[in-house]
Amino acid sequence: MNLKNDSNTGELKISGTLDIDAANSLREALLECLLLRPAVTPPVIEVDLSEVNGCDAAALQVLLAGRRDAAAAGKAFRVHASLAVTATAAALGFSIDQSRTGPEKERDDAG
Amino acid sequence: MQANPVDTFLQEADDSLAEIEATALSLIGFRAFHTIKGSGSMFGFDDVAAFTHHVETLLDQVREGTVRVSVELTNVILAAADQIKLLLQAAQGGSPVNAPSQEALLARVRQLSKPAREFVIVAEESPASEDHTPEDRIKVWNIHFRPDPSMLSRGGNPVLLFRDLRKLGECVIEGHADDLPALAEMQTDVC
Repeated sequence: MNLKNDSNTGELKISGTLDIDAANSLREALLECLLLRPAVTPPVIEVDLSEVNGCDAAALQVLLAGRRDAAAAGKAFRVHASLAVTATAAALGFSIDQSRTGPEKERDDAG
Repeated sequence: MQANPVDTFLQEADDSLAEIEATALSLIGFRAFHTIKGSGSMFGFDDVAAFTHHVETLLDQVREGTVRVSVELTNVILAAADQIKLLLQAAQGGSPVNAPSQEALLARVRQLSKPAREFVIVAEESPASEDHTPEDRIKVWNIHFRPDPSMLSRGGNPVLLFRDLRKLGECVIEGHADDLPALAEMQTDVC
């Protein structure tokens, strides 16, 4: 995994494989965006994952926690995900791209 | 062949009551066994404490949902209570307990109290709607999946699991991230 964290813009660019070994680095980078640079304006965290070629559940849960924590901190959280990332998210019932929250499709599956 | 609906109901009611009994027993039982273990150990009834510890561990797993309630569970809990009576009597000068039979009971406890599985799945069949005949009714299953926290670190991959599940039929997957810890506290190999 390759990680570039722009402290001025709050933009995080990641390429390579986001797996369980990379998950903690991802976590630390997101934390830095969230906690250590609260004054970044505009209050947007841009996560560029367009060059990520593999993503597993461990990395995905970090992204999901990051999105939730960002919202709680009043920051927008924008993800530009590659197919590898959206496929993993979709396989586990999540949607990670853009700033959307909630399941990909609203389905009336109440029994 | 369609079973008689009333018979089906009676059978289901029977099963449900057995489950209620076992659940209640295990929830109440946990505290009681815990107390016996603690006090037994404090007053020097080491055999009692050691034996009770195994049962308590099993009941803890039942409370956590990693071990399911079953008829065998109920039987083991009742047999364990009897065994503790015998151990207490033995400790007070009564006849010594039969070691092989205690070992056999512990083996049943261990059998139920298997090592944590990678995940817990609860599947239930959606209730059949009345305006459909059995022939055109599509079976729908609601599957609740909760990974064991160690699933990822042990190499488990939920993505592959769900991919296989999708092959079985139309599948809508809804993720739940509500229980994720804060980023600052998250252990990334725990799910």
